[in-house]
Amino acid sequence: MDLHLLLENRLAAAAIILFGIGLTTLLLNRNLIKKIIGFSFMDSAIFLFLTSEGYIGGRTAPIQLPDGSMPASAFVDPIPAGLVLTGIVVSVSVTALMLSLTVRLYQRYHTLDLDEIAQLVRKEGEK
Amino acid sequence: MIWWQNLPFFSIIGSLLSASIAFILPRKRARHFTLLILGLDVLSGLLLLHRIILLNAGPFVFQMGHFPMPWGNVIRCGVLEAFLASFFPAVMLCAVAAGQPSLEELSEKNRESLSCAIVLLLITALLAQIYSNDLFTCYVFLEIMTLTACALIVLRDSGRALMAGMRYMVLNLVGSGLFLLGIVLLYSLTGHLLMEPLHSSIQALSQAGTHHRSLTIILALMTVGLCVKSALFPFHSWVPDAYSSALPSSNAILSSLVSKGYILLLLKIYVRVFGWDLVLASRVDHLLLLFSLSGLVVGSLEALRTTHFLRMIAWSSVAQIGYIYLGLALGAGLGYRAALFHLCVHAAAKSLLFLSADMLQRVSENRDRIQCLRGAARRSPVFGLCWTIAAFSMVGLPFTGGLISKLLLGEAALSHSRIVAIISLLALALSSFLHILYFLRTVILLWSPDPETTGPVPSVRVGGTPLLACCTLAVASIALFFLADPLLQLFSLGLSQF
Amino acid sequence: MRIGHTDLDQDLIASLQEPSPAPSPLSEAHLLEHAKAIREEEAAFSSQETKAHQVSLHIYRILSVCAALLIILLMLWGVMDLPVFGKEKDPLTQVVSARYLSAGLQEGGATNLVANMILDYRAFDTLGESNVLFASACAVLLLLRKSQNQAIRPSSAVDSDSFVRDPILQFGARILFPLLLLYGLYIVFNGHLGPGGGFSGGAVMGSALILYRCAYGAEETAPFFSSRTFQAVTCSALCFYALSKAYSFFTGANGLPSFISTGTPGSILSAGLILPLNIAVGLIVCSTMYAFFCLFEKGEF
Repeated sequence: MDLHLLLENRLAAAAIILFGIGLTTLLLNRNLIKKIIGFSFMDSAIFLFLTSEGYIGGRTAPIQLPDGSMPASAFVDPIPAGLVLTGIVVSVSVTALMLSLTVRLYQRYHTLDLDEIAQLVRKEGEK
Repeated sequence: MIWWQNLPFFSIIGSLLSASIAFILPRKRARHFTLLILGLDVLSGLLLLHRIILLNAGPFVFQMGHFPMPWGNVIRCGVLEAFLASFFPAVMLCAVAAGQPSLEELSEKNRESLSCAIVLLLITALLAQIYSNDLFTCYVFLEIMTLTACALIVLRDSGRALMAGMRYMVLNLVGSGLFLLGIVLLYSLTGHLLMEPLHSSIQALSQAGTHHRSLTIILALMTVGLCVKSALFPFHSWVPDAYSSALPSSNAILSSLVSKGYILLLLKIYVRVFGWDLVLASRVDHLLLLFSLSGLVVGSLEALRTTHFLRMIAWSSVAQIGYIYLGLALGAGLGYRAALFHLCVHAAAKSLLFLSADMLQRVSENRDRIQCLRGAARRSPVFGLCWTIAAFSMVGLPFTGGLISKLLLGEAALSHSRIVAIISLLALALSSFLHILYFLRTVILLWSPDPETTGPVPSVRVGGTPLLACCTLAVASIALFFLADPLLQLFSLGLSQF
Repeated sequence: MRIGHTDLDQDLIASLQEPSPAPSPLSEAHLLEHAKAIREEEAAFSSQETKAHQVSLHIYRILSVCAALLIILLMLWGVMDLPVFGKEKDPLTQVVSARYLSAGLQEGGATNLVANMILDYRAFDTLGESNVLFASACAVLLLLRKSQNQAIRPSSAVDSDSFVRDPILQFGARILFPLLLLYGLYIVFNGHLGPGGGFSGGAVMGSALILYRCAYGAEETAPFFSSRTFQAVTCSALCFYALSKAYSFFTGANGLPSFISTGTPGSILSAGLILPLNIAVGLIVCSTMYAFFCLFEKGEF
């Protein structure tokens, strides 16, 4: 196994580790707020990964001078920046929806534990 | 660019604009406006299909902007996309029209214009998925579908609906995250986001023999991500709760359209981006085969066990998604064609099941246990007949589209190795047998006379639109049987151009 | 408190039902002892239950950690052959970005090459993205808007009126609000000339509005930002965005000349449609952020 590759690509490796943590928290944790935090981790990890993929050493942000004098080889890759922008907006929108669902669930059942809520819903249904 | 080649673009942008307009319209106008826009979408899809078939035209590309591929975004349309772009809005039109009575019973008036905006956003996202030629555009519109589908689930304000919505969001976000990671990894390997350039880069990489591991992981991530989102077993836990607690129009839209959008995207990725050879080489089809076969059996078994009417239909959905994925797993040519045909059959029949189930429950004092619905079809014969036709289609009886799709799946299975063929055919047989057990049992119960009906039958004032919508879907389910040959030719042609 | 059917309970019930003329210290102590014994028994019972519960919780946690490790290791193994960080990339993978960087200024007109990319080359994605925000706003409105009969109000301990009319906050808000708004507008208007754009500028403007609302309360902000305002702003901005981009897509696909010119790079009125689109996006994001805050806080504007 090429472990030195892992060290060289340490940002990507860190992003993958964060992604894994976020994914399992989102899926397996029972607390609703922690699920949302896990989702936030997961998305931030993807953005970190994307940004680290676009970076090229020694180059600067893609803001051109008005006379267009800077060569294309002076800039990092602009595509990941645009993708991250879109991703952040999507992430914010989804977080807003999940939080409003959490607020309504807490209003109704006074607990943040999804398993307890499932039990209470089942009891409601049996009545 | 010929005039009718602008139709895909107009339908996407038109639906998008109308979503913003429906947001501010008052309730009744928003409702009529939504039906109008959906009708226009159907018409434009039909017109497009007609033109393409008449002129024998090949697939064309519509540039979204002044720059060609791969620098600018494009959408692509062939005969298959045109067909789906007329079929899906038609199913949605029937679902929205037939769901009007229950929507009117919702507590507040301003929820209705919000729900119209949400439905229009959903159809925009679905159309964009059908026509799109770019992975990241697909991801963005995928997220619109996720958000709007969750909003449709929580439209009914009950505790169970809220919890189902939460479960739905959690699983869907897991799927989106996996899918996005796959896109990001693919971008870092190839530097492209549009599908055709991706295909050439991936071919070059696999021929050079490098990055085989990464490509396998990417394919697995995208596949699992989309399987999680479309509720394939074992990621189906939100399905029974969601379908038993949402409004009937939401159920119809969710079960027949939303999961289909994801499956279509997966098909597009297999055909246009990776190619079947790479899928075979990475053994992802084995994974799909495992999940789909287990889903077939488990879904049918659970449907047999449950006593709740809507949950039974929900579990049969799980099994039917298994059928479609079985077609995907059985591969290029026959398998894909079978998957597409069953996609259409399921879309028509499942929405009809949910919509007529709601009507049958209304004439039975809104009971939800199956046993309490004895004689419901006698009280409301038209909707009982619709439910029966839809059930027959799900089982696969003659004169309904379901028979053709089962035959196609069997044919696709036989074209494989012996082990795969035997296991698939056994699972198909078992699942069909279980389907017969619980669907026919329910049909018999619905039509048997109820000795306990005393007094007047609760009169249900149902307007013409729900009746018309349900009858249209019933006719569609039967028509899929009689029009199977031309449709299959269309699908084969469309897949070759896909 | 669960009352079980134990002997102690029966004794207690019996002793309570006996008519006692006056509460004597002995019987009070007796009752207290009984109550303590019952509590101890209950505690023993529930601790047994929680013990099983705790063990299953531990197992669940360990399994979750194992699942996370498995996923992480699998993916790390898979992605180790990606291009190395920070090195020059293979020119074959840079076909698309090379054109964005070299021809972006002439074709798009904006000196911010990323703005060129998201609002000109790949504008369809950004159109979809604004509608993701709109879809989320619809869904949150559906869930949290105050219905006619009950107030859907988050039952948080903080009563939002407790910091309204707080003089320090109001003084600070009075100074910061115009500055924040100006800064947000600057980011929006300069989105095509430097780092910035509609999304980031809109977020800053939205936060300015939220600060004002926190300091002065709903009574002050409701007159100028009501539900109608939100509907009007969102609908018109989205329609403008969709229509202008539709014009751009239509003329591009059909090969028709578009009358929108890119102007001189570097001046404020340049880059074709990018400036108006940034303004539209800024308005959408600003009103949506503010709407989210109002809905979460009170359930109404």
